[in-house]
Amino acid sequence: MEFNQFFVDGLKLLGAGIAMLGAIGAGAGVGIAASGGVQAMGRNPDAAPIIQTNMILGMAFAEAVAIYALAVALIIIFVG
Amino acid sequence: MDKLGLNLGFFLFQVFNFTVMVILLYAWAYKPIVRSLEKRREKIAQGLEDARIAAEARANAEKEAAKILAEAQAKAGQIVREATERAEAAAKDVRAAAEAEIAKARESALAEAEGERNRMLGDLRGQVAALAIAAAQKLVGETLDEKRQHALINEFFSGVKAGKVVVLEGAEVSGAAAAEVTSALPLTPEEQEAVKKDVLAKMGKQATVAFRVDPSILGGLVIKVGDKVLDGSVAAQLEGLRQSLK
Amino acid sequence: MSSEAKPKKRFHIKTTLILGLFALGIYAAFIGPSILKPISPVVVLPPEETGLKIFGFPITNTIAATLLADLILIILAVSAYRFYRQHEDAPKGLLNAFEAIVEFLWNTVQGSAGKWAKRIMPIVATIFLLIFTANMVKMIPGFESIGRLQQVHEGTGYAPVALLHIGDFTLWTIDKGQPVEAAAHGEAAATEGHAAATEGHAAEGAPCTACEVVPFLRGTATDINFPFALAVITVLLTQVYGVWAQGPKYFEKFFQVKQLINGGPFGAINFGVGLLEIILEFAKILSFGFRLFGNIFAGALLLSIIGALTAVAVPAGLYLFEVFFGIIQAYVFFLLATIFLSGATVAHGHEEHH
Repeated sequence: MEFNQFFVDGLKLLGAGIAMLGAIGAGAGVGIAASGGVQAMGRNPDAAPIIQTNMILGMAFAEAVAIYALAVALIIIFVG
Repeated sequence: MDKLGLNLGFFLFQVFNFTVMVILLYAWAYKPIVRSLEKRREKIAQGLEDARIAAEARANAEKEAAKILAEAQAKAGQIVREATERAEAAAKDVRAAAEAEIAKARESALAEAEGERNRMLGDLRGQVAALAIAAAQKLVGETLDEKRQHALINEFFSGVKAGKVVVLEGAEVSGAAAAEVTSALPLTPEEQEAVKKDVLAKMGKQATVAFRVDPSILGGLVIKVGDKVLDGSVAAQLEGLRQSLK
Repeated sequence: MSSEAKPKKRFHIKTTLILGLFALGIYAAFIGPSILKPISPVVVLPPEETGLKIFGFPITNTIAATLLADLILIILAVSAYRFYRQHEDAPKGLLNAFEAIVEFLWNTVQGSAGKWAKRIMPIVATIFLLIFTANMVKMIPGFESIGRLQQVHEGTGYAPVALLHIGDFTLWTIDKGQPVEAAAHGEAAATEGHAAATEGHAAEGAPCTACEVVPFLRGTATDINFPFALAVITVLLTQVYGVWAQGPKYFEKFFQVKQLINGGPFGAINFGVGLLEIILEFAKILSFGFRLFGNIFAGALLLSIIGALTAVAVPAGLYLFEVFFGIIQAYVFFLLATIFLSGATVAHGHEEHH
């Protein structure tokens, strides 16, 4: 029984770690958004404010995926 | 959800806290700050507008100044040009006057020189006549009286025989307006009068007669009327004699 | 010459101070008595109670930190109010910084919301200022380190050591050199007895035997209630502003009935997409809340773990990083709220008609 409990706890942590793999895509996405935004701002500095706003918006949406992963991981660790 | 920390009480406290903060910050911070910012922005805009107007006015003034300057320059240029022209004209006048003066002076000098020479030749004439008479007396003895001699000599020099110009005998001259009479020595006024009368009788009353002196013709008269030359000079007769002797 | 010498002297003083602090840190972490050594923090998600209660409402440590941030903001706001009542020009010092921040927020909101800026401004600016101040307040020394001692119920606690007696008040600390297993575990009694034996009189009057520190102040954003409250407010206000600006037409964004009737097969798809937007609104709450919470909580966790592992120099750089992230997260939350709120005031598909 006790062994089982340890086993379940370990698997939970493992599951939380695996859940955080979702952050990989979000990281890549945020990086691509930032790269594109900076390039666009470099080409057209006059439009920088608009580009920046849209870039941050895009980054926020990309980051949301990582946030869902974080939520899942937190729920697995602390709630489940 | 309790383990995540989500708690309705705390959640509502945060909502309440946020609402209170919105109201407080709106009343105490955003409203006055935004109003002040807008006021300052307006002031800056006003300042910019004023600066723009000032700049415009300055540009206008500069344009005006440039225009005035250009006009002044044009006027100055015109004045200078006029002055130059006037000066040139004046210089030309002066030069022309000077030239005229010089020409006049030269003419009068020439006339004087001519007159001097004529006078000297006229003086010489008497002596030449005396010498010629003396020499002829030596050669032919005293066959001729002195009066006759003088008449001969005079006739020789003036080409006027008994009040008539020898060269004009039988010559046809008419139509020309001016005649030039050349003698080896200056003619006396009486002789000149006689020649003139004779020539005028031939050519008509309107013609003018000029007298020249040219010692190289030795004696007699050469009368140039228009394109016709009546050569009654001794030199021509001598030449004719030489030709016939050949 | 004196003007040149002065900064140099100050530079020397600063250098000496920093090197001294480094040396102190090295001494505390590696050489000194175990009582000075940093202890790995206890990771707790929910806010902990400080024991204080106002009208029966328990004040947690995150609420205390929120109130501290509120206090700072209110002081700034009141001094700003008093200043602008008398002056028209820009203030000096801290107020100028405050004004600069508000001006920056105002310009951003104006740029994206246009004529609705005046109505959106209080909401989003308060979001920014609250998050920003809360994140900056978190950097004050004493946050997450000074608190009351509490009995550990499971795992390992540490023995309490009295540092200072001022009258009835005793200042305690916990000793890393004396780990004590919690009583809940099997051999807890024996360990406890051993600990009590070694402590002797020092443990007299201590609130606990196996102790952990419950801080009086904890970063506001590490309490999940705070970001979620802001997220829910933002998303709710998005709907409110949408209805305010467009009337009932706002809900056509979600229920595209016209598309369903007139649009043919693609109209049906568009109707489905419209329904998805409702889910998206809830997803917004989730991503809003967890973004701020995750970033700040992870930052705090990283700080305390790294602080426990390498007590010297490295946490200083991390603190700088935390300042940066505190600003960035506040800005991102503010910007997204601005975009959503101002987007709600503009009719959906308005751009497509152009």
